[in-house]
Amino acid sequence: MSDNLKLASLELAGLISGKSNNHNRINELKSILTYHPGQPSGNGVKDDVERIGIYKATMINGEKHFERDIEAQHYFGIWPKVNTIPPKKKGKHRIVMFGESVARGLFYEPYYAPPVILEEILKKCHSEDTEVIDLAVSSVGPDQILDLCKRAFGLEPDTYVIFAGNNWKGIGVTEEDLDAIMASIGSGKINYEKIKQILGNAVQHFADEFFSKLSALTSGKKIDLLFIIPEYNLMDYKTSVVQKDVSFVDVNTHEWLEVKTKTEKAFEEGDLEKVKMLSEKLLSLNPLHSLAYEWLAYCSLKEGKNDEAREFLEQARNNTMFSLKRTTPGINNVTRKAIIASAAKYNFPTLCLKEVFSEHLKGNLPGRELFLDYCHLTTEGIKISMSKAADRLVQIWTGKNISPEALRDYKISADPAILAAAHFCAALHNAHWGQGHEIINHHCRQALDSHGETIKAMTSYLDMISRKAPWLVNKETHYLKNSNFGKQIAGGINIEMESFKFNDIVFVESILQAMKEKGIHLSEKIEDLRQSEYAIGTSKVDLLQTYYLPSTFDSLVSFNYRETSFYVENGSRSNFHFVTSDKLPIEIDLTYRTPNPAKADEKIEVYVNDDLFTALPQEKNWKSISLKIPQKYFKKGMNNLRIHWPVPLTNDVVHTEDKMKDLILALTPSWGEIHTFYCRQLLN
Amino acid sequence: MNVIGISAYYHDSACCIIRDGELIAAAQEERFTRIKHDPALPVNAFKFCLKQADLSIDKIDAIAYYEDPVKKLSRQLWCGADYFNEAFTHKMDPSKPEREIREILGFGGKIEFVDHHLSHAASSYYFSGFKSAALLTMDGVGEWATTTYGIAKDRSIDLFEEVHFPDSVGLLYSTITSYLGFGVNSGEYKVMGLAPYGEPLYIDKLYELIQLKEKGQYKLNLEYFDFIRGNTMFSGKLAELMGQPVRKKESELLKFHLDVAKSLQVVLEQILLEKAKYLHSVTGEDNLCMAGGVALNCVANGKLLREGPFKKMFVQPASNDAGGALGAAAHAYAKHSGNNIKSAPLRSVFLGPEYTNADIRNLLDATSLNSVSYETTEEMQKATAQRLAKGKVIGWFQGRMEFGPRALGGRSILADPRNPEMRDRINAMVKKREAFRPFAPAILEDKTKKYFDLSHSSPFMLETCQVVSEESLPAITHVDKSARVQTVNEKDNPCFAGLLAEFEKLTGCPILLNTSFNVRGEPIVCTPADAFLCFVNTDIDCLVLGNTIIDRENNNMEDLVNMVKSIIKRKKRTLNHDVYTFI
Ligand SMILES: [Fe+2]
Repeated sequence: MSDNLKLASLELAGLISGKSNNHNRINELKSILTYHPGQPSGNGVKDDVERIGIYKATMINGEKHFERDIEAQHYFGIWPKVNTIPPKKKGKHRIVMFGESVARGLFYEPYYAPPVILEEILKKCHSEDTEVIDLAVSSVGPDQILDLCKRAFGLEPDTYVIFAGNNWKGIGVTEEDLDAIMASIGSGKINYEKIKQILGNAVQHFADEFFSKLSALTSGKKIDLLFIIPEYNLMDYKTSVVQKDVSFVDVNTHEWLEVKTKTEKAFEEGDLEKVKMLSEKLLSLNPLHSLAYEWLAYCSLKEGKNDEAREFLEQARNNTMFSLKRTTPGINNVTRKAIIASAAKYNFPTLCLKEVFSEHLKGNLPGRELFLDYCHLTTEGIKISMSKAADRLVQIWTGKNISPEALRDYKISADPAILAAAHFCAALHNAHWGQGHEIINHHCRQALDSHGETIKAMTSYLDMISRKAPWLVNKETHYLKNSNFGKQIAGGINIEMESFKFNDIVFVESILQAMKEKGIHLSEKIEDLRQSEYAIGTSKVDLLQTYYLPSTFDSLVSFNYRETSFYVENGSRSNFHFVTSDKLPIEIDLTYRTPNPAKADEKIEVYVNDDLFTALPQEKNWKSISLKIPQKYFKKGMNNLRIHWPVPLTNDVVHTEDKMKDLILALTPSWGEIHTFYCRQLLN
Repeated sequence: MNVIGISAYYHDSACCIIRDGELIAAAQEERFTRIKHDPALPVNAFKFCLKQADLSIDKIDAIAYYEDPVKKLSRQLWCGADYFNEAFTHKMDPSKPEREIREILGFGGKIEFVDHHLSHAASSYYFSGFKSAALLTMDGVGEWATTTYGIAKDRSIDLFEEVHFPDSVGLLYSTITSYLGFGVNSGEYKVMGLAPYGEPLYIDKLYELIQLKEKGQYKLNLEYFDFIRGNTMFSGKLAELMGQPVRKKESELLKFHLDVAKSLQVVLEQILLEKAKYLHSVTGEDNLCMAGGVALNCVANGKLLREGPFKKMFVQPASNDAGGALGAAAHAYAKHSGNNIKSAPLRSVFLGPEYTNADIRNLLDATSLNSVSYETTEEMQKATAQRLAKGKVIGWFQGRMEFGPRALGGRSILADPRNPEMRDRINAMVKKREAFRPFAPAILEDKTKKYFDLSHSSPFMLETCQVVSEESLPAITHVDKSARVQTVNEKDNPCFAGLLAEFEKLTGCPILLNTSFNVRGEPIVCTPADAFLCFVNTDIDCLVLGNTIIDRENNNMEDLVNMVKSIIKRKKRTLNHDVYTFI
């Protein structure tokens, strides 16, 4: 251990940290320092226990059962609430159903999950000896499904049903694809066609691989298989709050924003001809954005052109697959077609719910009678889809169909308390994913109409969301957690989440309105709570805390994917909400910067409750300013402070090891950044 | 001039801020993320520091980072770590500190890298209040240095001698800690606590492991160690030498283990004493400043001061790597401003966040529990003292959170030290730790002499001394009649001093048992909500949050306890687990 070795190591560390290209010297030094290859990692330990997800094989009386492994407790919430999967009994026909949250039966589960309904129908209409094992998992991706298919052989299955496709966004994209997309961005003009083509091919390629692997996996095994392709709630399609903003930044972004504002105005004025014209213009500027298609679909529906509306809505839906921001999960036409084509190639039968629902609705577009939100099914949707699935399965097994009469007689006798909870969860989920007031209100009303208990649940929720205290300590939590509402919400309201508090304005307003229609007036109480918990008073408040940030969950989780200690806006507008009074002026300490410059003369505009208060210059480096905003700008209760950032000139394309991050930075550069945002009332 | 100090990426990340020479705030990242010893870039602590100092990022002149990443990498390369192995590259990338300070914290200004041991030394000297002093730092390892000797005068530090890795007293201590079946970087305290039960029968064997050399140097006999590139601290030869196999974690403690612990403590004290004599002879200084993990051995510190050549000693209360943030910042400040640190001598470590009575009221309004709020602090202190006198165990949450590993009356669990059952009770209800470790006493400073053989103040619980009390204090007295004392005075720690005075009025005893407010394996509580959850999750009798008291006996907490226990047990604490994903 001589000093020579120390000197060599110092020199090598210097070369490495200086990113030196002197490879000869680096290698020389490496050979001077005796090199020892990295220790084998301890993670390669072979797990000799047979496992299927959260289940672990256990011998009971000499028979293999699969029991939930307490070690996997953390994941129980996204799996079926089934403790033990018993061994298959003699003479039973065992179906194993895999799938995503739609197959889990969100928001009815654990009560009316599709696997449960499928079993009921098969028992009633085919044979008492059929059973369905539920292995549907929320948030599961296609690769995990394949893994589960492999592991589930231990359950002695006769048939596999896979109900998936909603979680296939962004699948199959390779490093080369990312390189190709990056290359197509050049010169400030995004090559949209190229992106569309690359991602479309990636999905198709992935689907091919999926079914090829599935085929290899099941070949030689006597297992029948049915793949169910989900459908999307087209009638309630709304571009989410996050998605409504600029998607990618390029030379057209400026104009796109202007035209979008005009279209919104035309839409408000009901000038549909103008809306159509402007929407076409928007598509010419950015064909991969959803909003214009949503508007065109609206016009088509007004004109009674259902087929045309379907086209537009499906286009809108397709375009979410190109978004780099948070989108609602769900199938799109590109993925649907890829699955159908690949499944056919490998001779796997498919059941396409688009066709099933279209037939059921006699050509009308699917909406809230079949869906609770954008993709999760109502009991009616579950009944129709699972009836058809049962029929297809019997056909696969026997070559015959179930009698239509038997199917028609099948009913889900829904418990009103469960329905109420499901509607409440649906309202919450729609709100948190940036959907409109109308659908949220609809579900709030349905929840209240279904069962009286809803009032208590809503009151509890309002209390929990309006306070800073962690939900875990809130006195209402115990009730909510142990009621149907808590059980059915599953991952929807995560009572365990302690510090993630936000103001949830849209949902709270919807609840308050629905309650008011029932003669229950809680607005004042909530207003008081908000005043005591979050209000801007005379002491300093940090507006960058989550409760002052955007009011929808999706925008909240989208806002800081860079995980910086400061606020980074990757859209054109930053919104802050706070409760205050109109009695005193407010002082704001703001430290901001615009790292990606816009056109030289453009300014940053600060609006208070839609009134322009001031315009600030762009600043390449952090700049601290103090703003005194007179009380006339404010109102008692909830106020909005909005910042309009100028459009950044296209970001530099950088190449690091993290290609996805490079792409995100290039396509959705930072529009503006805030390091300090303190706010307080000034005493006169 | 405003400087931020950061330590990160190894253990106990922390951030502090010095505004115009004044130490305004400091906190460990683990307190915010609730991940014990969180090594991540201290984003939350950084935000807290800026807010507490009322400064925006553009007003920060420099960020000082507590070690030199390139030097550190060279040591790792020397050890044989394969830089070109991807996992290693990711972990050890020497450009990471600067990159993350730029990208994640958004800082565009000057970044100053201060050597690890210079950070330790500075963290002690600049806050000691001494004009000049000798410096001694000892830890496991920083970049290369494991021990440094220095002298400081008029704001400049000269570290004139270093002992280099792999020779390290800290690693020797950790190796034996590991051999005795405790965790490295966390179990060292336990070994120190175990020592008084043993006899020093293995001193000779331990000197097989380490040999003292001339000047400040010493050498480890590497045959017995495997920390350079192995997965354990020691080689197979250690057990052979000691004549006993490695103790399995949580297994029974035998006399042998106690004797080894005692021997190790004695050897450490001997080494410290000898090297301190050397340092004194070279520097001629009367004052000694210490820092680095080894300086947290309060038993050795007490002995060094009593038996060593130095007249005065200052030990940095956050001597671990969290304190490196303080030293780096102080060093950069002194260097660039040419001014002294104003917060010297450091009188208190209440440098963390605080919460208002309104915050606490809002929290409790959300819960179903009954509580009593008092108009004044005096009333609250009286009511708390009454409960303590009745034998209640109190969760005590007041003012700003402490910086460093000790709870000193801001986030503490308190009890009557005279009660012989108290040690076992607290261990059973909350700490769940080894029964052999006594708790520490906090005492009104002007009453110290009557109870302890201690001639000076000890506000940070950094040295032990003998108990000389006539009254029996079983809960805080170690088997060798020693105690790790915190002295409390009205000026630096008024709320806690007031409580001690009230307790004395009721009982005649100016002492309380004081241990940190947390359950085993979790960081000390930071917010009122953390304290509330810790209260619910344990069997603490009363929770005192500011001026409000919650009594367990006045509440039916069964449902709440069940829910909290089930969820806390299930919960995986990782940085971003508060966000739900759900498809
Ligand atoms: Fe250290």
